[in-house]
Amino acid sequence: MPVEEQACALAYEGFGFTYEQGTSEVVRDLSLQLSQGRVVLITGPSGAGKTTVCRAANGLIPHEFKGSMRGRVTVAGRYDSRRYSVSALSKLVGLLQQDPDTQLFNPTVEEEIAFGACNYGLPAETIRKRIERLLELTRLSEHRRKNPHQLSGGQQQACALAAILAFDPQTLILDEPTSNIDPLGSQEVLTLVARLAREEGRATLLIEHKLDEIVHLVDEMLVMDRGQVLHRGSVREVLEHVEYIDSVGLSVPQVTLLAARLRSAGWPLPRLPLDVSEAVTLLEPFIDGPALASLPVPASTCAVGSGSDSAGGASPSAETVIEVSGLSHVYRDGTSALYDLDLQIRCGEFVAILGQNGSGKTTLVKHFNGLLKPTSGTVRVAGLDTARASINEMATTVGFIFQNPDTQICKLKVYDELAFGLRNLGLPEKQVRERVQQAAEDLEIVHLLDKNPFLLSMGEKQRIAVAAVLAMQPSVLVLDEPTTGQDYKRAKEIMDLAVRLHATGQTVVVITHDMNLAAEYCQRVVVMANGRVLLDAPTRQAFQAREALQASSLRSPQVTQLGQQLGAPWAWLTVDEALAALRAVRKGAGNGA
Amino acid sequence: MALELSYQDRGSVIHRLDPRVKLLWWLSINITLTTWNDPLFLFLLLASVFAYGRIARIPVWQGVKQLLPILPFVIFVLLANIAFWRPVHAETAHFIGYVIPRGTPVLPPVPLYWETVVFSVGTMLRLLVLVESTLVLIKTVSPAEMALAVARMGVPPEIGMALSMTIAYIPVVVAQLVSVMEAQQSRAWKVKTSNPIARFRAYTTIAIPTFFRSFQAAEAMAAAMLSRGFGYDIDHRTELEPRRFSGQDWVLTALFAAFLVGGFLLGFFGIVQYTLTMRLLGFH
Repeated sequence: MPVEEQACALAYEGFGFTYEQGTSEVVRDLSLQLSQGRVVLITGPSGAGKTTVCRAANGLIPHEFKGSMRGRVTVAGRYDSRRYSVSALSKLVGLLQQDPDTQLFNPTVEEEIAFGACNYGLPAETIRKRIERLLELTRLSEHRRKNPHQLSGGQQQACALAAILAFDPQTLILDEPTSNIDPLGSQEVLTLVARLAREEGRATLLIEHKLDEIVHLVDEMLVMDRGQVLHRGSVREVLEHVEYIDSVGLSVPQVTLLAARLRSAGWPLPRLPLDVSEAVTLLEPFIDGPALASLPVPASTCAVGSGSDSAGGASPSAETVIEVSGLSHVYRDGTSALYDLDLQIRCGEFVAILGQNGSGKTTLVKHFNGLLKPTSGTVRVAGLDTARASINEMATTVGFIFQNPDTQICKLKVYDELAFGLRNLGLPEKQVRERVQQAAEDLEIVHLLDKNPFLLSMGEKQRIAVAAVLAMQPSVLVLDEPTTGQDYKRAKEIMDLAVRLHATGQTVVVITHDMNLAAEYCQRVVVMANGRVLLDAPTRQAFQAREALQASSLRSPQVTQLGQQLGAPWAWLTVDEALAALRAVRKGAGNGA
Repeated sequence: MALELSYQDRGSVIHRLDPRVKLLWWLSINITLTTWNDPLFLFLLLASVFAYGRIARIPVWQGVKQLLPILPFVIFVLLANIAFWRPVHAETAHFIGYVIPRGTPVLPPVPLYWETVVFSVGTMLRLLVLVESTLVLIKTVSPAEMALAVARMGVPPEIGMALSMTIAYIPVVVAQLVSVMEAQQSRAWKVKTSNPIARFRAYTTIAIPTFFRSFQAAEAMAAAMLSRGFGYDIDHRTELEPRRFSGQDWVLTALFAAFLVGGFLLGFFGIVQYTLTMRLLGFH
């Protein structure tokens, strides 16, 4: 192999790109070199240009996504991406895109993995050996004959990754490879990617939002926003700017942010920690152990934000709004998803439903508005039996906000989109007008009412989708994975909306993989595993139950783990809570630092 | 539901055939179809498609069930033919009565002939054969196999990719459709109305987001196939289980080719025309 190939697997030189229909560059003047065995992380909010960088790596830009490209992208030191086809460049640069569902098109997992390797004409025996190894690595051996679309989201992502690794590209580009996976599953995939990069000398470019899980796995980190690199360097160097990165709406390791705030408050910390154990080592000398152990337990069972005793939150009443009794569900293909499940949710509660991929969360909530009917057992919402209630009754009782607003938006004018459900209910036009206006005001989208929703940004579409559901004034609001595929800022925006609604007395149920958001916003946590409820407790109590969380491939937020390891008597749920507690127990600080 | 519309290796003799033979079967059925309009023969052709599917271990009930969603469209085609198709020699045709009587304000009279009914039933059956044979093809040829087969027939890889993507794409679109329907149902959308205009409008509500999302999915899928070397070097692509054109493949190729030529000529020379059924029904 020529020397330059070894030195630089992929190089961007002054790369910039404007999409054909766009007016400005989505990436500006990017220069980056990936060498073999190194893992580079790019993070940034939506619209930062991360996916464009990925597409340019194997020639999808400029060959498939048309537009104006500046600068140069060179593969293996000599192949200019403008002059080689996507399939030729992909032999050297494997690209895993975001949504695994659209990347799986073969009838079995085995054939899916073999597809690329066969296209590149690798010897059959080599391919067979690689398939076996990758099936084992990704734990898909027992699913080898299944249709990939029958796999869970996490398994689909693992399958798509194996399909790329099968033809052994020198460079691997992974665009949010863990967006659909639960926390422990994410950790496994990312660790595998980093291990393969080191062991097999593969250059790896990773796009990720979940920094918690990745800080020790990458060699270089770039933070992008609006097409430009804001910070770059080692993870430690970049995270020195953690407060700024947090302010642009990115998810940062909680312990790093906490330490940065303590340092701003005058704590002489020599460096910022990257993980919980480092944070324990750094902070322990400053903490008065007995004072920490005797910190009074807060009255609130949840964090500030939605708490029953917080200013913005509403107190749940004694009245049960959702009552699930002995619910079992078997899908038409024979898959059992829920087993004899019981659950009660009270009026005005803010509940998180957590669980690993395939644990039955979505199946459960789809029973709340009658999208699914119980195989056995009953589901009653606001007194209505969901198996018998009409579509109109269920639509006015339960508002369901789907993960992707594009699933919902069906009208060419925002006003009509908001009025859609109300007209379906047969409300008089005057009432429709009033409710649309009210919902638009609540969501601050009055200025968009005459616009075409398909031409708006993803964030605006999300608000429209929420407003359209709110206009129907449901008493229960269900949010299905509002954080998946979103950056932290947008996820928080959606959750803040939910908090505002909750403050008006609405019952809110959220399905999420994001432990930080669940800890920050929810009063109660229901953890599911294998179609059953594994844990059902107030948030603070639930995040102390390490074993139950682990059994469901979940883990508590970093600050909760930190508190536990430092000896705090109760679970810290947010950085602010941890900050307040630590400042109160700083050695020799009296009443806080 | 989405998976029911995708390829599943049921290990049947049909599944083991070379994909080109299966493609020839589909072509022989559908090219013949363009020249036939006799309901009796078309019904037999439809039955043969179900029989072929049965050999491929696709239950008949499943085939019938999957035709149900297109039933409104099939009925629309039937009614449109009844309303607009007239026999060439109306003066000698067998008059039944008027669908729209003479003297109806604004609307012209619409006469109904036995020829119209028989021809319209034939047209409806054509549509059913087209859809059912396509579904059977999709369930018996994997998308990747299809792309390869087409490429090996000398067709440019891009066309092979388009074809295979179309097949791979069907379950994706169905899955999109299901999630869109769920989202709209959550906002009290319902399609059960006796008014056909209201029903049509209800369907546009799901068509717009489905189209929008499907377009995005198609773009991502094409990028994924190219990113895994599709079309890199078709002639040297590795086959894990190399498939030779077996004796069985040759026999069926001959059979389907003969049917294609014979069926086409029968239709072309006006033998398999609706007049045949008319005669069998006693109309001369």
